[in-house]
Amino acid sequence: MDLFAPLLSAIPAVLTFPNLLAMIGGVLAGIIVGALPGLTATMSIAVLLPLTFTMDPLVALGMMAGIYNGAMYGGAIPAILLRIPGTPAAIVTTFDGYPLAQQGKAGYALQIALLSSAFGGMASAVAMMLVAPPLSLVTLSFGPPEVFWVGVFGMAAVSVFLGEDLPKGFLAALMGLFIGMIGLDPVMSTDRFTFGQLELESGIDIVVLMVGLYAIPPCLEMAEETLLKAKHGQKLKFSPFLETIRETPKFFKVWSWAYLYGIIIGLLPGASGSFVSFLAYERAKKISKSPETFGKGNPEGIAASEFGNNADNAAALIPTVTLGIPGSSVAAVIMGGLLVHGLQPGPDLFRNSADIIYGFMIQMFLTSLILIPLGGSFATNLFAQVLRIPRAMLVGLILCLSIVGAYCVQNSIFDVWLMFGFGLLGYVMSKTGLPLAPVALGVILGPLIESNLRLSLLLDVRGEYILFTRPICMVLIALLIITTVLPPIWKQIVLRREKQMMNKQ
Amino acid sequence: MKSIHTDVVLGSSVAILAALGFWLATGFSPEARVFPLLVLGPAVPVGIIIAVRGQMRLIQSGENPNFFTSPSRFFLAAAVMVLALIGLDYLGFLTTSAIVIPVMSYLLGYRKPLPVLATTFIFLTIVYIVFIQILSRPLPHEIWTRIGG
Repeated sequence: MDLFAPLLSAIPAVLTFPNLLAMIGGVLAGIIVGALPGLTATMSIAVLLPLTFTMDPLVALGMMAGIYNGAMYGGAIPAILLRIPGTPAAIVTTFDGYPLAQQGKAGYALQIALLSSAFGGMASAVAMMLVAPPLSLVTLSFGPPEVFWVGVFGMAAVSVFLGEDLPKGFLAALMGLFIGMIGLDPVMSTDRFTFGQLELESGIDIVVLMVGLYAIPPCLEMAEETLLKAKHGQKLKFSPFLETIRETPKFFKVWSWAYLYGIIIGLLPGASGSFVSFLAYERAKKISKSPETFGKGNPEGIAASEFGNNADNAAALIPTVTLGIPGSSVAAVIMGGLLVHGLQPGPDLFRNSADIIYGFMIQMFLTSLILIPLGGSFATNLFAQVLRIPRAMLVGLILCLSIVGAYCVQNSIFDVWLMFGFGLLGYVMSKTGLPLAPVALGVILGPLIESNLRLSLLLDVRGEYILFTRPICMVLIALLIITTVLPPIWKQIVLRREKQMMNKQ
Repeated sequence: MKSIHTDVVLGSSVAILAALGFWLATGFSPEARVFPLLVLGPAVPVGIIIAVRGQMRLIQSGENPNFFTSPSRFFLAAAVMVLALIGLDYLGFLTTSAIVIPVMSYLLGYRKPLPVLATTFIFLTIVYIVFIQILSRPLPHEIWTRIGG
C-alpha cells in the first residue's frame, strides 16, 4: 500500500484551481500547437518554459503535461485533414486518417484519434504510476549493443512492412539514414556531407524535414488536380460522439499491442512516439482480418497510431524521473523544467518531493482525460473546418504555414529552402512509389543507431563480438531475421500457390 | 510507349549519387566513415536493382505510369513557391503571404475575391497572434517596417 499512499496524498494538491486552470490551458495550447505543422510539443514546452518560472512547480508541471498530451493529439488533426503530420509522432496517422477524410469521414477519424489519444495517455500515466519501477529495471540492462539492435530492428521492420515494394522500402530507409548523418558526426565531430555549408553542420532538423516531406508534396499534387476535382470544400460528416465511444471495444486488441509497444519503447532513450506508432500500426495490420484495407482508411490504423504515440507519453518520462535519462526530446525539455524548479531527477525526487512527482503523474492522467471534452468540442468542430476551404486556396495557405513552421525552428531562411528541397524530394518519392515514412524514421533513428554502434565497437576491447553474443542482442537479432526475411518468403510462397491454383483451374 | 521507365531514372540516379557519396565517405576519418559506408554501400546495388527491374517491367508489360498529372500546373505552382521563398527574404513573411495566397488561388482557378481576402486576413491574424505575440517567434522582417525605419 506504500505505493498508493503518496499518490492519494498528492490528489488534493492537483485538484486546486490554479492547477486545473494550468492543465486546461496547457491542453488547449497543446492542441493548437500540435495542429500547426512545424510546431512540436518539444518546441512549445521549450518556448513556454520561461512563463512557468514564477509558478508553483506543480502548476508549471501541470501546464507542461497539458501541452505534451494536447500536442500529441493535436498532431493528428492536420494529419487526418491534410495528410500533414502536425507532430513527428502523427506520421502514421496520415496513412489511414487522410483516406478516411477523403471518404467524407473526417469527423469520425478525428473522434477515433481523440479517444485513442486520450485512452493511450491515461493508460500510459497508469503505467508510470504502477508498473514503471519494475519496468525501468529492464532498461538498466540495455547497453549500446542492445539499443543499436532495437534501432536496426525498427528500421528493418518499417522498410519491410510500410512499403509495398521491398527494394523501395529499403531504399527509403537508407535515404533516411543518409539524411540523418548529414552534419557533424556524433562522436568525433567530423564534417560529413555538409559541402562547406555552416547551416548543415548541426544536421537536418527533423521538423524541417517533416514539414517538407509531408506538406509540400500534397500542395503540388493539389495544384495539379485542382481542375480535375470539385472546387468546393468538402462537407464534414460527424457521427454522434457516443456512437463512436460505443465502438471502442473493437479497438481493444489493437490498443493492447500499442500499449505494450508504448511502454517498452518509451523506456528506451531516444526511441520516441513516432517509432511506437510505426510498430503498433504494423501489428494492427498483421492481426487484422482485412490487412488490405490498411492505408485506405481503416479506423484501426488510426487507433493503433494514436494510442501508440500517446502510450509512450508518460512511459518516456519514466527513465527521466527515475534515472535522469530522458526517453525522448520532450522528456528532455520536461527534465529541464524539473531542474528549473529545483527538482533533481533520480531516486531522491521520489523521497524528497513525492507530492510533486506523484502529482505530476496524476496530472499526466488528468490532462489525457481532459482531452476528451476539450478535444471533442474544440478541435473536432473547429479545426475540421479547414476541409471546407477550396483546394486552390489551401495550396497557398499550406505553403505559408510550412514556411513559418520551417523558419521558426532556427529563424533561418536556409531551413525554409531546405524544407522546399525536401518537399520536391517527397513529391518525387510519392510519384515513384517510395514510402516517405522510412525516411523520417531513418533521420530519427540514424544518429541513435550510429552512436550506439560506435560505442559498442569501442566497448568491445577484448574482441568478444558483444554486438552478437549478448543474450538480449541475440533475441533482437532473431526478431530482426523473423520480421525481415520471413514475410517476403511467405509472400513468394503464397504467390506461387496462387499461380499453381490458377494453372490447375 | 515510352522508352525509359520512371524506376530506371530513379534507380540509376540513386545508384550514381550513392556511389558518389560512398567515394566522398572514404575520405572521412576512419571512425566517421563506418556508418556512411554501411548505408551508402547497399544503396548502390538497391538502386541498380530498382532500375533493372523497372526496365524489365517496361519490356515485358509496357507498364510505365505518368510522372506528372499536369506538368504545366506543377511547374506553375512550383514557380510561385520559389518566388515566395525569394520574396520572403525581401518582403517579410506577412507581406509575402498576403501576396502568395491570393495569387496562388487565382492562378489555380479560385477567383472569388471576398472569401480569398477574408481567409488570407484570418490566416495572417492567427499567425501573428500565435507565432509573434504568444510564442515570440521572430519572423522575417516586413519590408514596410524597414522603409519606416
